[in-house]
Amino acid sequence: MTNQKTLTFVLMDAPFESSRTATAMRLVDIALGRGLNVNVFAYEGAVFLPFAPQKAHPNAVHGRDAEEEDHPLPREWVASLISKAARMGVAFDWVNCGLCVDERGAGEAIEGVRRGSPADLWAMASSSHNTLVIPTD
Amino acid sequence: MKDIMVVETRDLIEVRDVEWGAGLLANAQSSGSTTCMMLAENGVFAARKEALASCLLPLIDDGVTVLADRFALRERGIPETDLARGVAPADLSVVVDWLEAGASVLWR
Amino acid sequence: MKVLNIVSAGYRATLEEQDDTVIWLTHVLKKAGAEIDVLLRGSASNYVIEGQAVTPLTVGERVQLHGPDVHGQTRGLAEEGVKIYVLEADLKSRGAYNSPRLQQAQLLSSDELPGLLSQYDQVWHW
Repeated sequence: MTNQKTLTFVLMDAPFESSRTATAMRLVDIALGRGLNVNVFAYEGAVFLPFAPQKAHPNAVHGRDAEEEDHPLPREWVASLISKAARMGVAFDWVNCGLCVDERGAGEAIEGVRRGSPADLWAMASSSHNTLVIPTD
Repeated sequence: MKDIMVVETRDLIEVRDVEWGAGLLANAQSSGSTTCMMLAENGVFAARKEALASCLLPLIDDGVTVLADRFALRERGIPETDLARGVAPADLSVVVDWLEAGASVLWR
Repeated sequence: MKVLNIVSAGYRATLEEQDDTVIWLTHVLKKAGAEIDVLLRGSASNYVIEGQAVTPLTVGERVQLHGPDVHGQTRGLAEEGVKIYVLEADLKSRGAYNSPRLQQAQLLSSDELPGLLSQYDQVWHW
């Protein structure tokens, strides 16, 4: 099911630094759930959101091991959005800005995410119904 | 004139720049746009009726829609019955509504 | 498609990036043919002010070769035909209204802002 419109989201925050990340993920989730096609251009710290080596940890303060703590990882959120898009039959394109990846050493991304450049941002935004930039501080 | 939504995520007690978004919406409303301030994350602290939301009450009087993300309200223990006059609770999906409608949505 | 880039976070990581990354992005998009203009607001309004100089940073033995030049970056955009807008109120509140500034910077009052936004297909607020 798709209603054919496409929205582009531009993200900037690195994981675990700001409440904007969770809000952004909620918005993308909502948009996919509505049958919208979604692009995400990850700029600067946001290129770490789909970083494959992210690892959950235990929480001794809560007395929970890693499995019990079940700490959400942003890369899991991204993977889950990719799966959701496939189930919904809509397009979901996540591009990490390449220079941002290089300077941060964030090259190892999960499957389904691609490396790109500002040209991709322009292509995404130009073919979208609307674009929302979620800036960092 | 383009319709404008400002998604305000910052606590207006901490961040004076929240006034800029409020001012933009007031100007846009008086110029004929349909406008909305969507309070999310720490922005919902301004939504309590006892809060010193000096820049928000004039917005409501000017006809700007002021909404507060239900998720953020619950997260901060703000009951919907505690919201200031003119502030309505809303789901975050309203942001997607405005994007789909082609409005300028500015995130602060 | 015409885009207005609103840049508000001035001097954010500019030392290590050696650029304002959103001004840099605008430059890249413009060179690729995008129709894009810039509104500098908040602390970024200071980018139009002349006389800025950054001593390249030294941390331990790591000496930086090129410090950032945000005013120069902004001037470069203007020279490429990008319109540079600044809010009068931002310069006045920072005491910078009478400081020498980029000639091409177009000053706006807050009242004019909704009309400006309406001239663009998309508005990206950074």
